[in-house]
Amino acid sequence: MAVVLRPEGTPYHLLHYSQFDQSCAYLDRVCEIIEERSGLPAKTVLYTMPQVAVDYLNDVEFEGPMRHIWECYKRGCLPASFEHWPRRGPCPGLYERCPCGPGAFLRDPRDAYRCLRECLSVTKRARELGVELWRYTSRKRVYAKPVVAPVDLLELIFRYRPISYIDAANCGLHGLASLIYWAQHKAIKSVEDMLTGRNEAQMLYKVSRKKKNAFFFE
Amino acid sequence: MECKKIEEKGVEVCTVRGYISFASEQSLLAVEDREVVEALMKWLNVYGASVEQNVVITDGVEAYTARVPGAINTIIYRVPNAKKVAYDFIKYLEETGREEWINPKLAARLELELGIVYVKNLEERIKYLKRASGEPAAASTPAMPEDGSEAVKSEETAATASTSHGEKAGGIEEETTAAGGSITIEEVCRVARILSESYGADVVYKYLLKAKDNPVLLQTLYA
Repeated sequence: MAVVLRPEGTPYHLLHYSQFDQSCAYLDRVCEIIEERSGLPAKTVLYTMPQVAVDYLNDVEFEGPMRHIWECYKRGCLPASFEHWPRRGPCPGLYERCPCGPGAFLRDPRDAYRCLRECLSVTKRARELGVELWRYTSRKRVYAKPVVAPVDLLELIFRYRPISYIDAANCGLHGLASLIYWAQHKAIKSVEDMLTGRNEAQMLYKVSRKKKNAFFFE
Repeated sequence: MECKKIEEKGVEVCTVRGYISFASEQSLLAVEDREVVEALMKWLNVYGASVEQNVVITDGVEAYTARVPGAINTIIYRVPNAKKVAYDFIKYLEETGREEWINPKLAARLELELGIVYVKNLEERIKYLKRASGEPAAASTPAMPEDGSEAVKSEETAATASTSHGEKAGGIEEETTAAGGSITIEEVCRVARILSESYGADVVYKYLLKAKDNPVLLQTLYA
């Protein structure tokens, strides 16, 4: 019999490591189910390999206002960039590009690869550092495995040649700002705001019409 | 269903005609391709099998499957440590250059559940930290000692990297006050880097304006 859950938060709450227990409280029994099925603490699973956590929710059904986004999470069509950062100053002219936020690490490894290869801010630094985000097989095809401890990896990558998330936000690079904030503070800004009652970065809950249709007519 | 039990290893090997579906099946393979047959055959030879067949590794709860198109038999391994055996199979495919057939998510999950990933992760982290510490920004730090102490050192650097925002800000204030005295261009660059990481370009610009008061520094900056 399928388990039915009614989470009040989004799947991005799973990436909010700095206040993990508090953010899990908004997710009904999601963290408990991950813990039961993996035999490991939920934080360990989500910190070490957030991309595999979805496998533990295979037969779980979701209901409530967040049903669509959780179903998207299960089907692997979760939006990678999900926060809107307000501009608070002039853009200093960053030569950076990154369409994906931390949400990429909740997607299937293959989808995450497709998203991350567009994120030049990460790939160019990783290349310079000699960090492998994905491997190539002997036939020169991409072998995308789930990234191990992505938050640590990003912290190292952005420490190599830092960018301020404020600058990224001022330049309208919302995904990059979220990614840098996540790497530096181990926190999702909009979730942090929700828990602390502030309102600095807004989370975009809406699933686009195209993705919704893909979900219904797949 | 023919079964033979290997008492020493606690393994029960069964061969069935056709295929039995299991309640919680997880495919070990990302693709079901004819080419997989060769790899499977080699692996199966360990157990003395010589016919093309599907493989199911199960401990009674979880079932890890590798299905071969066109196979008429299924060989079922009932082993107490199904995860470990399944992981061995994946490792075998990886080592023989057949990574693209593997289901990468399942491979990663098995690594995580078997506790293999931690060691690998730590090693990788140390490797990255070593590389990162070789950067010109950290060139002023003393050279790292050999082997064992290296790991400790890199863990320390990781710990310092994960310090909170407030602590970082405190350190920066101290350094900016010291900027009025005799400081080198390396130090200015280092502070500017930390400032840019935490506060943005405006603050860096203001800091560099302050740093301009030092004529030696100004000369070096605009040289």
